[in-house]
Amino acid sequence: MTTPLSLEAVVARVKGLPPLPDIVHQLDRAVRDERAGTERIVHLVSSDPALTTAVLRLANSSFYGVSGRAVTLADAVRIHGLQTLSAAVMTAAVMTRFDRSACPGFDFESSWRHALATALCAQLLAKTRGHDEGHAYTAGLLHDIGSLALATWYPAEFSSTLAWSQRHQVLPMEAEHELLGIDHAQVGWKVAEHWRLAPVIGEAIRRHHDEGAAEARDGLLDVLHLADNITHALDMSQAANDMVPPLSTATWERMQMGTDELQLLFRHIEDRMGHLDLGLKA
Amino acid sequence: MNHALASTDARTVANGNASRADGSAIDATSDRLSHLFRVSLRSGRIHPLYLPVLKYRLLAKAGE
Repeated sequence: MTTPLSLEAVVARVKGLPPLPDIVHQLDRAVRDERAGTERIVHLVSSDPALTTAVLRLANSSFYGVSGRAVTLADAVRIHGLQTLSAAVMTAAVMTRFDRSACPGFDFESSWRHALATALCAQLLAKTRGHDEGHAYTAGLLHDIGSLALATWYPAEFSSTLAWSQRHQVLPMEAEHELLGIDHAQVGWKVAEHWRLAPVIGEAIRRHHDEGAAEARDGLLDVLHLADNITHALDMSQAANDMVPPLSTATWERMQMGTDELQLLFRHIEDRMGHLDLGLKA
Repeated sequence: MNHALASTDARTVANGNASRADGSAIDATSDRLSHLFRVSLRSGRIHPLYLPVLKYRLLAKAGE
């Protein structure tokens, strides 16, 4: 019998989570400020050797569409630009915040593959729909961060939800509601708040499985909801038990995805994810 | 929409667009997609991404 979790207890765990490095916020500001110099940003990132290593591994993978080899952070900025460096720093910083050995039943690598594919897909959708690409990337990267948090902090309880989901062939979210009384979207929203991310990102994370409520949906929520569906449909996690969640009809109609655009988007995501090295197998 | 219908869709698309794809590869693709989309298939709804992804997969198989 799995004991339901109290939101207060989970929020207390969220508040104990190490903050994101200040460089994440500084980079986000720099990307939005054309006057910001890159030298200071590069200096700040390079003061953290582990972060630098992780950023360079990501920057040299096909995921960011590399066209040259980045040996230093300055190379990475020159080749990819500050927007991509910002995305890589955010990715590397978040990946070091959770202990992947904590929950044996949870496939952290699959989860990160899905998160990165969703970040990429959301960024591409945001670009063509005139939304903030940085917000879309971050929302995609972190939309399931609540699952990582629950798997790390409550491994036995979370494993039960995974088993229940498979036994009853329902979405993990339904299993979380049934057994825990809360779900990963709520927890992810609290993590986003704790990490001082833009409220619009937290709101999109909180509602990313919300297929109803056709009214009052922010553009970012539509982008994230569709990106999550697309990456599940493309089997980006490669997890045996993955499943595509329901898609809001209102979102689908508003996004107006043409047949050719979808086929190109699928190809682009698969190409970029093809040789991604997350560095998790060492 | 049920699993049998999903398989029929797969073969229809395959016949039209992926004549070089062999039957077993099409079956494997169809089976995996049916598995991924099992929530909507079970509820009798066609997920808006089901056919676009099926087309994408079969065209990729035809091009191999």
